[in-house]
Amino acid sequence: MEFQTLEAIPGALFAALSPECLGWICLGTVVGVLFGAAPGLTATTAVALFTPITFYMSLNVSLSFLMGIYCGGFYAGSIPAILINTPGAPGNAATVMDGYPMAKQGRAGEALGHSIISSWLGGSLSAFALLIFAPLIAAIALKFGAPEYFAVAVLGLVCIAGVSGRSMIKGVAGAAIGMFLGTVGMDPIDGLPRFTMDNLNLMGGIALIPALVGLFAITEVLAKVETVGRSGKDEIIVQVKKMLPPLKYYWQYKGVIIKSTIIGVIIGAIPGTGPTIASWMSYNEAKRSSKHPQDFGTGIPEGIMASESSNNAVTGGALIPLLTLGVPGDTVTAVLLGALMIQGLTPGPMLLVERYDLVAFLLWILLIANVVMLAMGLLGSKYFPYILKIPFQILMPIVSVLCVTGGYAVNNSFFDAGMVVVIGFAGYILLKLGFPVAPIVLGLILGPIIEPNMRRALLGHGLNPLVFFSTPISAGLLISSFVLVYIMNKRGRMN
Amino acid sequence: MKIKDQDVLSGALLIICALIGYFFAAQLENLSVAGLSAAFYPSFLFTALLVCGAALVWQGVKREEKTPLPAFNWGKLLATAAALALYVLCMQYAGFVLSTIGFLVLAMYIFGERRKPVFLGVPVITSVAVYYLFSKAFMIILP
Repeated sequence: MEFQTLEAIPGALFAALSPECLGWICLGTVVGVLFGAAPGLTATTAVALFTPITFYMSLNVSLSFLMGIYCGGFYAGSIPAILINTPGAPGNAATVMDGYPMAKQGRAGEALGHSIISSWLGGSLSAFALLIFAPLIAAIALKFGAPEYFAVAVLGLVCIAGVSGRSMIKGVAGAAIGMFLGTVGMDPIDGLPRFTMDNLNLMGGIALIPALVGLFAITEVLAKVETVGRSGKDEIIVQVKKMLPPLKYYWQYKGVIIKSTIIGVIIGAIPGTGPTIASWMSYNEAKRSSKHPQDFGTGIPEGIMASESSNNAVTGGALIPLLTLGVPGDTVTAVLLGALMIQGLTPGPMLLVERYDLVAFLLWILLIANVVMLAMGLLGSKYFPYILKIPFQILMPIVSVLCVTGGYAVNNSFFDAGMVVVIGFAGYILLKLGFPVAPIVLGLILGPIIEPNMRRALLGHGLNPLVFFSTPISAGLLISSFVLVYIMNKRGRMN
Repeated sequence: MKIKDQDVLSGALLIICALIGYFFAAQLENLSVAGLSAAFYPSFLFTALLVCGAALVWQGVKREEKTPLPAFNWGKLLATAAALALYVLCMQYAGFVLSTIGFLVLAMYIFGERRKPVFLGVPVITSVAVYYLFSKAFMIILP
């Protein structure tokens, strides 16, 4: 790391410690915890819902707010996992295995304590991984040309298409649908309008933020309206006694926490993956390497620590491909990409060269958000059961209002507000038919990266498709994509 | 013929969408001299959709154990979608606060809320709070 880049770190700390940023980090963490804890709402929904608001904020303030939501939301999914046996988000599903049995034994406070401590450790360590690895990957990415960018985007899409649903084919189809949505508007090379139906509002393409709000938030509202009143009530454990062991107690579990954090960072940094795979991989690894694997699932601390440290380690890991390659690591960072774009920033290697202070700032706000999250988790655990009691018949209509208002707010456009509803409804139908939403979103984001790079590479080499295999990096990435398709398809058939 | 398998239905829909897509892609003007027109990339995507659709249909037909079609609660779904569409429409003419109050009352009813004090309190408080939050705190002008 160069001296100039290191120099940016203390400067960024002062920026992050400004009262304005601290206030928005705290507010963001509260919002994240509320959304993450409410079953059915996730950190992704919260970030998508509040991104339109950040359009009018300064960059530092908007990042502080969104990172607070990001960290708080990822952690808070463990609250319903522990208290009502229902993970707040898929990434917290592994926490249910030991969290709920522990809570049933009258140790809900202890389970929440393990969850918050390991989330804090995982999240904080992953922030340092971002600081160290982002410049290294960016240095490699600076050598990228059109074929390499095309190959990276393809790899990201293949990963997410393969892991986000039950069917690889539906994942690929979802990615193609998203990429098609990305073609609406002006053609990037010839400048011709495509699929705009002569509507001036579509000339600039389908606005990203309204599409994300529709796909992530309206789909949740529609899912809830179908099930409201039908779903069985889980037993809510309301008695949360504070039973946090002394910090040295965690020293004996350092191996589990560090290993799970590393898994979380690595999985998070692979474009298109995310916390679900990371937390299950860490849980299984902790179980495999344990001296007492038979105790997993009965309410032991290692199970919660493995899942939660890994889940929150994804936060820093997933920012690495976003900032260095412009390819989101998971669905939340896909929305964060939109947030950066509305601030006029284009993530990619040049961003790190020109704005390393931004990466340093992200490091500090991630660390601060994790501390705020820790404080909230330790002080607020008694009140968490109340979040789970918020009635859906009031919450969901309010979420709908925020969706439409957010869709309108980005461009002061009623057309965009309408797009939130249309895309949300279409997304929900696709979801019910088994098409996962994540590849659609990633296709919509990566499509505009893939198309111009694909066409430029082909045009520059006499339409020879072998151009994509002409450099070791792009050939390696594309071969990895094909191998992944093969493995995931085979695994799908076996399942 | 009645389709009973989710994959067959999904696949058939993808094939239809891909064919419609080809039709519209074919209407695009070709300005390119090098051979890659504006329709090249969308056509590539429609081919991918066509292949995926065919694979899903094939999978669904071949498999003995059928994947059941998803159950939709069309009444509630369409009512919510209509309420949202009406909300966007009304906001243009009635402004944010009034249309939000109307929408919240309707949406809460659809979601099963029946308590009268809640019907009176939540919509008014929420719409005024969101309006002031957006316009005063975030400086976003709402209609």
